[in-house]
Amino acid sequence: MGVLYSRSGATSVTESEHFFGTVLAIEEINALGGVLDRPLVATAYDPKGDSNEYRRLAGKMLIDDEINVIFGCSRSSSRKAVLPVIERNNALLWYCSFYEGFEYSPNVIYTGAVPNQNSVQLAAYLLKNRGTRFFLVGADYIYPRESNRVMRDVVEQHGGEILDEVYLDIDAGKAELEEVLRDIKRAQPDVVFSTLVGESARVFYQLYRTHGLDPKTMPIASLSMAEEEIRLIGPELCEGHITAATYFGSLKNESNRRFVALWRQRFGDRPTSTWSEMAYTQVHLFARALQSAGSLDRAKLVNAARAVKFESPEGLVSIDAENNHCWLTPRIGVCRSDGEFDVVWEAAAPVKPDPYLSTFGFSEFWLG
Amino acid sequence: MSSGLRRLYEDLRGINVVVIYPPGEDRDIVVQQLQRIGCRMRTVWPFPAEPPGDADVIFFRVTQESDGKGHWTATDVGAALVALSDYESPTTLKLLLDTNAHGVLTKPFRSSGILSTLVLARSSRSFQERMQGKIEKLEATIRSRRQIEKAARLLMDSQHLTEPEAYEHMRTRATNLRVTVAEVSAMLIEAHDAMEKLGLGRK
Repeated sequence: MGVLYSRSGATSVTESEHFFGTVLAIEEINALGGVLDRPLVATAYDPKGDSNEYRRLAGKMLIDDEINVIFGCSRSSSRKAVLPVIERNNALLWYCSFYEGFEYSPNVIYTGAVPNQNSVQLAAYLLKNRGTRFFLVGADYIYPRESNRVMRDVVEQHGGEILDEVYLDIDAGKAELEEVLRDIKRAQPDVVFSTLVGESARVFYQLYRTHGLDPKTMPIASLSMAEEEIRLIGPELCEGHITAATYFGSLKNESNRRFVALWRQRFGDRPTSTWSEMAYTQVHLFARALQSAGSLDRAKLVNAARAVKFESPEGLVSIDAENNHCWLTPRIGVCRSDGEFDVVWEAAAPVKPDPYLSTFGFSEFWLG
Repeated sequence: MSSGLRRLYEDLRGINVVVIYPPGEDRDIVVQQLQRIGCRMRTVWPFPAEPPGDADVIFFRVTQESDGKGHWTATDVGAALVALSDYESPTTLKLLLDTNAHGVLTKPFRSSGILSTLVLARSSRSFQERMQGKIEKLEATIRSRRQIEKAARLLMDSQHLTEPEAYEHMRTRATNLRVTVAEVSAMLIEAHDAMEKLGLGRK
């Protein structure tokens, strides 16, 4: 199997989490005897956050290394870059990041959340519990723009107000971030919805309090800010910020206890997060599909994967036969001073992925 | 973004889509993608002689094998038309042009591209419809303009009015009678013709 996550570049922290989650699952499965009595053997390359490198290395894996199944990519730009190579070689890509939806390929299994499994719930939670005046800030690429489209639609449909919508370069530095923070201070929103990523997101959180903004009264809400990045920012600076995700390290279930124990044993005193967990979970889904398919053939694997269910660290996960995306359980977490999240709301059951949902109506909107 | 444009993709879950294509893997790719998008849809085969009446969008096969039968064109149908084309050979291209389709998908079909084509076809269709409406309105305006001019000339001749007076007269009558100037001019022309026929016209 191929593993293709950036260990350097703008999203190196979160993609390294993808990488560690993948490694952990492979090692766990191999320690138990592998699949069909054979070990999983991984080949990993580092595309360094560069779309061209993603494409080149995916081609190298599929042609030179004769690999047919790749676990990799995080941002949509990297997925779009490898997709033609994957399809041409009839290979299978396991993609574990949440993303904006509006895609289906018979050669991809999408295990991350789409907007009907995170954005909508976050908007509903914020409107109900935090207020109606939103300030949107994001990195300038497709995911923030689509997330903000959903946020704006939902907020405006339900009587809220978008005070401003600002985009910064993905590598935005301190000066640009401070300018936005001054604008936020002036606008005094109830909530700041941030889709900044990587280093600039972390600096944004670090600077937040020094600009006199209090997370407890004016939280930053995010779809991506999870435990490992909170640790790097400094958890004491983050208490009160809100994140929507399908996994939090603080979940109490047998599978998560096992995952966290294995993680600590392997990687020491670092937190697990939605980034490492989804990568870990999708390798388990793959192993189960491979077990029942008995073949690395793309069509056989996909058919088998659609019948697999896995009690993952985030609960029961399965792949929708109609669209190759995952049934996941949306959750809202509020950051604590120790860097973990208190889950303040979660869906009663896994939610069907609906990657082509472009509008979010009134029905079933308010969280039960 | 205008609400008209947004409607093109926002109401995709409420529209009726008909796919006219023989069963098989190719049709499955299109049908399954339309299901993922969430359209209400049904399939029809063999090719119907009349276009399905209740459809908002029709995906239909274009191929030489149809022997020219069962082709209706965009102007006959109230729906957006997307052609599903087997080949890109000149004869197929000719057939494609004859359909006046708003969009086309060519084999091999893939999932990506279907949504864009669907949205673009609906947009072109509604644009065409608006343009058609505008053209009809303009043609009607030109027709009535000629009529008004003719009526004005009649008034100038028979009532010895200047041109501005003739127009002013028709305008005033139109206001009093609560009808359009075009209708007043039609009455004048009709009355004039009737007098002529009765031999009571001006010498």
